[in-house]
Amino acid sequence: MILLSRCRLLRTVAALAVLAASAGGASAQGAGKTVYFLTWGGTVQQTLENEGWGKKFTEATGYTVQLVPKATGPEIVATAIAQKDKPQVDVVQTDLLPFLSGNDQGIFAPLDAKEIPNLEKQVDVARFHANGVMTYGDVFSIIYNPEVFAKKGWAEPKESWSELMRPEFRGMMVLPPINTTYGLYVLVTLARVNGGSEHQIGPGFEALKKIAPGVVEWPTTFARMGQFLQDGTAAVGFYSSASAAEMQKRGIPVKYVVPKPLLFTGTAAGIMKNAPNPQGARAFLNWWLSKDVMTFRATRYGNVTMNKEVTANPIPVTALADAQRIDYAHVNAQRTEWIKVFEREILPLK
Amino acid sequence: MTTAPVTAAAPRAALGARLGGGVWLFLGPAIVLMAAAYLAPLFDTAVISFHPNTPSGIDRGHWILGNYARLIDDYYWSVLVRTLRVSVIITLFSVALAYPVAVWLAGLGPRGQTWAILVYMSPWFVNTVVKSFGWTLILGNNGLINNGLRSLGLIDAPVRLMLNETGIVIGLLPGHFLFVLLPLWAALKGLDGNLRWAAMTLGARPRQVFLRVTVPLTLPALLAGAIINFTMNMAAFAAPALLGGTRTRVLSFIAYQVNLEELNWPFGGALAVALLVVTLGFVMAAQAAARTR
Repeated sequence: MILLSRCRLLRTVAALAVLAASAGGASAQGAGKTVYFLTWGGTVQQTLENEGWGKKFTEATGYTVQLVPKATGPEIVATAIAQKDKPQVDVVQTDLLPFLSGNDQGIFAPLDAKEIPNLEKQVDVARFHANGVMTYGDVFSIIYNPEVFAKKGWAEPKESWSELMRPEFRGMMVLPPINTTYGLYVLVTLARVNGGSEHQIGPGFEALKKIAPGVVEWPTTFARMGQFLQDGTAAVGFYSSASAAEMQKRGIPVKYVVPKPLLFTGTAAGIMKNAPNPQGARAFLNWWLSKDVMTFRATRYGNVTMNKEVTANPIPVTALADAQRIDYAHVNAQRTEWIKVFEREILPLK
Repeated sequence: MTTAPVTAAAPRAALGARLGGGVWLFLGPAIVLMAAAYLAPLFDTAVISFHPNTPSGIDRGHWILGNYARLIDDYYWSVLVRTLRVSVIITLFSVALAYPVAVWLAGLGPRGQTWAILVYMSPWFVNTVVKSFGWTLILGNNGLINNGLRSLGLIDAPVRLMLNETGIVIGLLPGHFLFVLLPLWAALKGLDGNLRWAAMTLGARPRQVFLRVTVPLTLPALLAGAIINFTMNMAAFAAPALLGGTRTRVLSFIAYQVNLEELNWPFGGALAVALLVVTLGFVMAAQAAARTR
C-alpha cells in the first residue's frame, strides 16, 4: 500500500514535470512569430489593442505584436537594461533622453535602411543616431483650467514660458518633478527664460526656488496631472501638448497654449541588441514608422510625427527646425546631480 | 499526557516516511521557486549595492561602500525616519482599534462573525491603486470631506488631508488593520472561558479580569499581528505614492525611483537592503522585548 502510494505520487509529479516542459516548448515555438514591444501603456496600448492596429500589423506582416507596457520613459529603459545580457523584448520605444542613456549602455543594435525602408521616409532630425530613430515628438505646453481662471479673474496664459513665473499661480501649480524627463525640460526651460541654459543651470534652479512653494504637487504622469487640474487642486500645469489634447478628449476641462519658441521633446525607438526576434523587430519598426500608423498617431493623439509623407501633423514637422532642442548628452550627464539639488533644496519648499 | 502530541505528529511523520526521498520532489518546487524568485534576486541586489554605478552600467569589477555612505545623507535619513514614523503610527492606531473590535467579534454568533470578518476584509477586495484613487475623491481639496465642511461653513480654505503623512495613514489603515484584527480575534475565540470565570470566582473585577487574564493571554497574537502590520506599512508602495505625494516620499518609493527613474541600481540596492535591515531590526527587537517580558 505504502509502495503503491509512493509510486503513484512520483508518477504524478513526473507527469506534471513533462507537461510543464512541453508547455514551455510550445511557447518557445511560437516566439518566432511574436514581436515584443517595450514601451508605455497608455495611448500606445490603446492604439495596438483597442483601436485595432495590432491586428492590422498581423495582417500586414504575419507577425503578432505583444506589448510590454511600462509607466514612464526611464522605467522602460530600466527594463531594457535589465535584459541587456539576454533580451526578451525586441523593440523599445521611450523618451529620447532615457533612450540615449540606454544607448550609452550599449543595449541597442544599429538600424539599417535596407532592412527598414521606412527609415528613409523620416525627416533628417529623426535620424539622431545609428541605433535609434525618432518616431514622433511633442511640443510642450502650459495647460490650465479656464473655469478656475474665470473664477479668480486671471488673464488666460500668453504664449510665453515666462507665464510660469506669474505670482498669482502660487498654490495652484502642478509641475513634473525633476527626476522625470519632462521635469528636466521644466528646469532647462526656466533656466533659458531667466538667461541661462542647460550649460548654465543656476538661473533655472533660482526660478524653481521661487515657484516651488506654490507648486501644490509634482505629478509624474499626465493622468495624475489631469486629475489635479480637474478636481481643482491645481489650475496650471506644464506637459506636452499631445497629453493636454488627450486630457481634453477624456473630458477634463482644460485648455492649453503652446509657448514660443517651441520646446520639443522626442520619442525614440530602437531594436534590442541580440533581440530574440530580430526579423520580426525590423518588420514591426518598419510598420510602426509607416505613413498609415503615423497618420493615425497624428490625428488621434496629436503627435508630431517624423514621417515626411504624413500631412495630418498638428504642427508641420518643418516647424521643428526652429524648435528649441537641448544638449541631451549634457543633460543626461548632469541628471543625477540636478535631481540631488531638486530633492534637497527645491522639494522641501512649501 | 505525552501521548497526545505523539499521535498528532504521527500522520505527518508517516507521510514523510511514505514518500522517502520522494519528499524532495514535493518540497523541491517551492524551494526552487523561493530560491530563484526571492533569494537569488535579493542576494543579487545586496551584491550590486557594493558596486559603483557608471554611465555605462554597473561596474562589477570594483567593490565599494559608497552606496551605504550615501544613506547617512540628511535627505535619505529624513525619508527613513518618515517611513518609520508613519509605519509606527499606523501600527499603533491598528492595535488601539483592533482590540475592541476583536472583543466584540469574538462575542458574536458564528454567522455574525463570518459577516463581520467579510466586512473588515472588504478593503482587500479592491485593487490598491483603485482604492487610493477612491480616497482622493474623498480627501482631495474638492473632495467629499472638504466640500462637506465648506458647505457647513466650518472652513474657508480646504483642510489638507492628502499629499502628506495624514493621507498615507488614512490610505493604509483600513486595509492593514485586518492583520492585527485576525490573529487577535482567533486568540480571543480560542481563550478558555474557564480562566476568566476562575479569576472572577477569586474576586477579580471585570476590568482586572481583562487586564490581568485576557490581555496577557492574547498578547502574543497582538504582537504577531502588530509585526505583520508594521512590515506591511514599511513596504507599502502604491498608497504612499498616490496619497502621500512627491513631498512625502517613503523609503520603498525612493528605492523604486532610484532604480527605475535614476537607473542607479547599486544605490537602489543599498536602499532596499537598508529597508530590509531596519524592518527586520524592528521586528527582532519587538520579539526580544516580548520574550524578556
